[in-house]
Amino acid sequence: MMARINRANSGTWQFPQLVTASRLFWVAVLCILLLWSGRATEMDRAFVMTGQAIHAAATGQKDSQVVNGFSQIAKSLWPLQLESRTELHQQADQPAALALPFSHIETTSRSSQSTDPVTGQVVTTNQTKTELVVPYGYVLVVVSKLIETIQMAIWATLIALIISLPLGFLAARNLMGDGFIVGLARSLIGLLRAIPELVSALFFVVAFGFGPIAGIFALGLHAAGFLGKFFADDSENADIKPQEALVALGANTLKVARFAVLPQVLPQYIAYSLYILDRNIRMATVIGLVGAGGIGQELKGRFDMYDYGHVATILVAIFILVVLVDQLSASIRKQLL
Amino acid sequence: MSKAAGASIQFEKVSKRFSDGTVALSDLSLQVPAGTFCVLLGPSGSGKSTLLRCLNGLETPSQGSVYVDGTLVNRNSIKQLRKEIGSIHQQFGLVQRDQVANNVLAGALSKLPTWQAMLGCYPRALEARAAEMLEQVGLDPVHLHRRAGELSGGQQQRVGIARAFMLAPKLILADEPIASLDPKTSYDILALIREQAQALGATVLCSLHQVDLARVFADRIIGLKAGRVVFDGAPSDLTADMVGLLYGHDESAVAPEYV
Ligand SMILES: Nc1ncnc2c1ncn2[C@@H]1O[C@H](COP(=O)(O)OP(=O)(O)OP(=O)(O)O)[C@@H](O)[C@H]1O
Ligand SMILES: [Mg+2]
Repeated sequence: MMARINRANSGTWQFPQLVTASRLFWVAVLCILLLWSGRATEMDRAFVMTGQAIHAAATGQKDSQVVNGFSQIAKSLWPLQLESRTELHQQADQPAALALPFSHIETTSRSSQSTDPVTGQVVTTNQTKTELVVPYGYVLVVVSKLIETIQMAIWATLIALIISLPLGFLAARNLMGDGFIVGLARSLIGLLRAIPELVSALFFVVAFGFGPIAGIFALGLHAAGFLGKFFADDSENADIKPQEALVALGANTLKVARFAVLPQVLPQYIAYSLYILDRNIRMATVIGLVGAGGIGQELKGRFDMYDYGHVATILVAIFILVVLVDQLSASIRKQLL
Repeated sequence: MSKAAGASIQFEKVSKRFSDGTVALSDLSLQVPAGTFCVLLGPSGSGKSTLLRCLNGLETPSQGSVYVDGTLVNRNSIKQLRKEIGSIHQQFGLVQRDQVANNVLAGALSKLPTWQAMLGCYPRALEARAAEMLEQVGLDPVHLHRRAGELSGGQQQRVGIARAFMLAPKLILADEPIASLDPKTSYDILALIREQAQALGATVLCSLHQVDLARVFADRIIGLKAGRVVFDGAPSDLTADMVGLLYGHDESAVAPEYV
């Protein structure tokens, strides 16, 4: 064989070229498509406005719409709302309300003038308002909402696991063959994955009312599709030899799944589940925007009432939560693998 | 746990043609009486693995019939038959990540109700049997909780043998059980299989690439080539010419160590 290789021929060998006519053609087509879609999505306007904003910020001028918009938001977000005020109507409430440290009672009196409709005289009325002020009261509210958010994420993950484990099993060709059941399970997984959480949350809010139930179901079903696909694919990629060995020893499909597949894929399954929990916590913070419970619902309510100080507190809290969850899940993952 | 006898094997005009058109077995007939240690020889792709897989139902013949202990192997009988067949595999077929204990106990799964298997709680009698088997194949209690993948190749095959013998089978199918093992370990592993099988009176069908070891251990040798039986007889009948015929197109192609 070796002797037959003709050295003279090697001068005609073709090496792969990076730039070819057909590649240039496709790049041109791609550019035209991008230009067309840029018009449709107003990317040209975005470009111009961003440029103006950068210019305005650099030169200190204030005539950019974008800069004005952002600075207006920034101003209204500050200061963060930390305290809470509750009006007290009865003297008897006071001792109990003061149980929280640093809380105090503020009495403000306000005189207002109004014209008596009957006599036409101007009367001055003195109103006193007694309020319980807890300096960190709103922070407590936000923290309790965050805890609700985390609980939603945990329940959603549980539901996702309960659905996806059997679904992934039924969708795994190595275990179920390549028949009708696998097709059905795979379509169901596709369907679950295809419906965005925020959309299904809208429907669940209609069905179950405002609150965490809708959020939990929306997050759980979507994550079930995700996990189901991962579980099935991982099972299919697992080493076939131990599976055949157990089949040859007379184990049925469930036993093969339990003893030949599960030990192989378990670390991956745990990693996916942790990722889904992580993702559900992040998604649970926004799912409330459609009224499906958690911190997002509080955020939407405050936003609609122009309480931008409250909005700022919530945003900071979400940011801290997401950073903490990121670090926690990273360290857990490191320990597992 | 000595059962009376092993199982006989019979192939009747068996052909196996894969969906891509490859013919692995063509019109193959053979008979192996109960209690025989029978070695399958033959070059790569001659159909040894396929023949063995037809016996434990991992492949279904395209034509012809396979009998184990007089029972026709088919969809209905295979469930019962597999309880009597112990399989040993080339790459051990162990769950690498799982503990040795679980790997050995898996050999008894066919006897366990499914719900009990799911919970992973084995009866004490089976645990005792697993311990006994592990001891007989020469492993220590310290190995019990090690991951199978952390053992040496020889030790892993010992685990595979312990698993195959868990239910005291009548028939042992071993597909190149000593591939990738060193010569001494290979010898020990084959000796172990023979010793265990003899204790049960079990039949052994074992494919090998080592002609010298086949001569040592086999009661009978079957030579396969291109899916057909080209030699069937006692080790003493396997002449150098015969080996040459088995492995090459012409005499000169035979590597010296095979002769
Ligand atoms: N699933 C399959 N699909 C298609 N062809 C197959 C399949 N399994 C085996 N074959 C083919 O059947 C023939 C016999 O294969 P087999 O594995 O039985 O040979 P073997 O004697 O065990 O070889 P080796 O000594 O290398 O293990 C080969 O040509 C192989 O390519
Ligand atoms: Mg083979």
